[in-house]
Amino acid sequence: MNDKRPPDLAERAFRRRRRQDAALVLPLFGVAIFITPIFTIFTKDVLIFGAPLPFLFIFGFWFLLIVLARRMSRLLTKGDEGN
Amino acid sequence: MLTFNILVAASVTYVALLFAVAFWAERRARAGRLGWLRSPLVYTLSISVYCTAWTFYGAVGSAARNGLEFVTIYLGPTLVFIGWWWLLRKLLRIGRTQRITSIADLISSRYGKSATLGVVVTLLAVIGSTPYIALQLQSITTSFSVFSPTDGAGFADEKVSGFWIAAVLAVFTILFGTRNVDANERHHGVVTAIALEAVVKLFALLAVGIFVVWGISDGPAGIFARMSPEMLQTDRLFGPRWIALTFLSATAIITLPRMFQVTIVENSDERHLAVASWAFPLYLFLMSLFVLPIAIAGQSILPAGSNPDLFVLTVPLAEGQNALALFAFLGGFSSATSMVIVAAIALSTMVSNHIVMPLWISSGKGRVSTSGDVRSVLLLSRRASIAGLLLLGYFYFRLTGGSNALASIGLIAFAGVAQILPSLIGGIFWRSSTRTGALAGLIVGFVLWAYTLFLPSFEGSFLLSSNVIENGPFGLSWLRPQELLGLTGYDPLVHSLFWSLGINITLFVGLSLVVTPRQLERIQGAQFVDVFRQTGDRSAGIVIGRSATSEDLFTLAQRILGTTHAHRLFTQAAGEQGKQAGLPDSTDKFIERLERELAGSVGAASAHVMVSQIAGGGTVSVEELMKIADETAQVMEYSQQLEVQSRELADSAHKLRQANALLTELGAQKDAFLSQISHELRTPMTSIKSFAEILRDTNDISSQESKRFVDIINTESQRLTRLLDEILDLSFLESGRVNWHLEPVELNSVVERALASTEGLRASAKVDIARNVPANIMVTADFDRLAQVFINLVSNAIKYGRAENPEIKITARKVGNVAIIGIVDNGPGIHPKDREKVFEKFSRLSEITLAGSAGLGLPISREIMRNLKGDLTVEKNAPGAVFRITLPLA
Repeated sequence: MNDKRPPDLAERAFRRRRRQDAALVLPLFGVAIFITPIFTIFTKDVLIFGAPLPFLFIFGFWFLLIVLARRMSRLLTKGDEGN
Repeated sequence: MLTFNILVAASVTYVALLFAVAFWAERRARAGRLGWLRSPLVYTLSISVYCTAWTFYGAVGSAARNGLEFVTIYLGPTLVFIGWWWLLRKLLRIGRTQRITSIADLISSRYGKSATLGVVVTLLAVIGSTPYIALQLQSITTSFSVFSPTDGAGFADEKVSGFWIAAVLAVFTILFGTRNVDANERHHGVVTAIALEAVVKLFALLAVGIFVVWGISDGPAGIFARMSPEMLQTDRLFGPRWIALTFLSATAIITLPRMFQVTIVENSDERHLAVASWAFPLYLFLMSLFVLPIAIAGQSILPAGSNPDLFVLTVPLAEGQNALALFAFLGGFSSATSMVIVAAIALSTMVSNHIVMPLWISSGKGRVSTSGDVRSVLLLSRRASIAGLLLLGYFYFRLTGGSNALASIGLIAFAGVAQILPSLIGGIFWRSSTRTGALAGLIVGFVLWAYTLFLPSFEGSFLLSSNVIENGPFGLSWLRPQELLGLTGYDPLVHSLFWSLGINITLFVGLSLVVTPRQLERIQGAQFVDVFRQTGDRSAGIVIGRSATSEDLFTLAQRILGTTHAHRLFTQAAGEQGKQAGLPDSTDKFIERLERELAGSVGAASAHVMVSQIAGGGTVSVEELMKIADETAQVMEYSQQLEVQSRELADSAHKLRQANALLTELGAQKDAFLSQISHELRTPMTSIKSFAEILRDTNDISSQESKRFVDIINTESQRLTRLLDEILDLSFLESGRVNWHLEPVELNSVVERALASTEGLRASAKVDIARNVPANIMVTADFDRLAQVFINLVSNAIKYGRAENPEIKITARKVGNVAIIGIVDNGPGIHPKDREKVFEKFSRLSEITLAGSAGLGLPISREIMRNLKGDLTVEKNAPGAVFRITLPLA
């Protein structure tokens, strides 16, 4: 029954901190995808729908990162205004 | 076919459009109607200055040669931007609070406003960027030549066209890049023009890409079907070079002077960065999306051996798409020009703030206390550096033009400015990093970069001969530039990056741990590292010994900021200090703020020198602090002594005041005593005198009467004598010159004696005596004097204890080691107000006066008792008068 109430200050601070932590994790995720051996798993000479897998992998994850970054940046700036 | 004239006309029109847009934006900015010009979109587009002609043309070339490797150049910046919360946000905040003007200023300011570091970073940036500028000039001239099928058609002289391009860019940059001295004031004209160019190059590449995918082939599957199987080079894709390139491009987006300029210096709102954090990666994504298809198309359409770096132009030309080719040409032109313009602005700011300004100050002409406009010097030096830098780039292009050396210069420049990274990251995250560490790391890293990468890239035509590159200097093979210490098997770029950055970081960290930083370094370090923890205008440490006059400061500010701005600043500061008019006080806070304002124009190091010249002092060293602490301790000790002394003085003064009050009282008493004595003496004297006159002047006086008169005269003279005796006795007692015959005395015998002496008096007043004095109470006293006291008290009780049946009680008892004797009558008693007065000399009690008595009996009695170590007091607990005598037991 408490769900409908706006979260209290401590809860908001906690959520904001978690958002900031997530902002720090996102580039690490990118690093893990693109410059660790994980990269080699997906860069095989295979064609999917006529396109080479490495191409699809790189641009697919790249775009995913951009979408996540956009979401992240909105959340973070919203948190700023909440201050 | 496109003719040269059309091409030139298009270029000139395009440049004219840029001028117009920049001019329009400047006018709007000055009118205060920026609107969308100051939006996240324009900010993001201006960051795209990262994409130069090298990436515009070169990415396709790289894709044709090395497959997907080109993506690394875009992935690095993407990772940095989506991690904006970590690094860029902090850099931005530092840049704003410290009013940073360039990457050199950031490093210099962080490490104690070091002028040396500023010079080193500036030189590094200029050396790294000049070939890069040359590369842009080359790409423009090369793209021109693509459209000319034959040499010698009037424009094919690349050298000449290169010069004119450089000249036009210099004019544009000077016009719109040096309007203000304050590097923190945004160059709205330039930024808007850059944003326009960003749009042009993006759409140009997208247009070519779309044409290739859907025009030449039938969609993505079609174009990939044309791809030769080995083109992607998938097996060799991931490896040290892949990681190194991604790292390098990530570094470049932070440390390249032009990137720092657009991302940090030109930023007007932190929220814009939040948008750019995803929008800029999106821009890069779109820029690289069609790179691979264009490369595939180029390889499949064009004859083998065509320059893949020009596929963007040659593919549409080969397909007869002249308009598209022209658009692509303008895209490449945009990439090149925008890079040159921003790089020239950033580098000229660095050169003028970190090289020209310190030289000018130290030359003596910069005595800041004299008048004159520093701004003209600054602007002139910036304009000259822009022209100089472009000229340098042009000469470089002429010297090396056409060689393969230029093609690889992009990554080489990245590796050069990457040397700044350790000092930068350390500077904003690690408080203990020091100037010495940064300086050593930078210089050694830079030298290693030059030796292992930059100089070998000339392939023997500059400084290092090909023999040295091949076999090492003096035939020392372990010093071979590209196989240092025998480290073989690596790509030259990875090899160079490993050595230069590795030793750079080692020296930076190692020396930082060993060397003690100066005070200003520590303060700046704290300000940089803890930038988010600071709220408002916190003072940057302790400053002392500053002695600037506001007039001097105003002169300085006026010379750098201009009269209007300086006036506004000072008026505002005065207002904040609560002053209605006039200059603000030169408080530490104000001086610090002024220094920051000036740093926005001339850089932190120069501003610090200038303000210190006027204000002197500056930040205290630890030694000075110790000295101050020492002095403070001494002062505190001294003040404690003073406090003690002043307390003593206050005590003395208090005592003196008390003594004075006592003396005044005594003086008054003495006066009263004298007047009382004269009055008391006068009464009997008058009486004696008048009776003596009667006796002398009256002849017929009966003998009986004369006897009576003589009796009166006798009585009065006796009274006079007694009075004088008493006075003498009292003064004798008070002076303390009495010889006391102290001996054990039996109390009863004294009472006996007193009663005997007062028997006559008692008989006439019919007074009863009630004695309750136990036998054998022995006291130490002078018998005669004690008897005198008793006699006095008893006779007083007889005289004043007037009642129906007068009675006097005499009691005595032992309490502890004293005897207490009470003499009590049943008369009216003594009014409470008069109780203490009875012991005063000649006191006249309000109602019942001591008629006929000089009133010295009680004072004398008390004096005697006190001399006998006892006391005489009046008690209040009875209807009649109660006198109590205390005496020490024998």
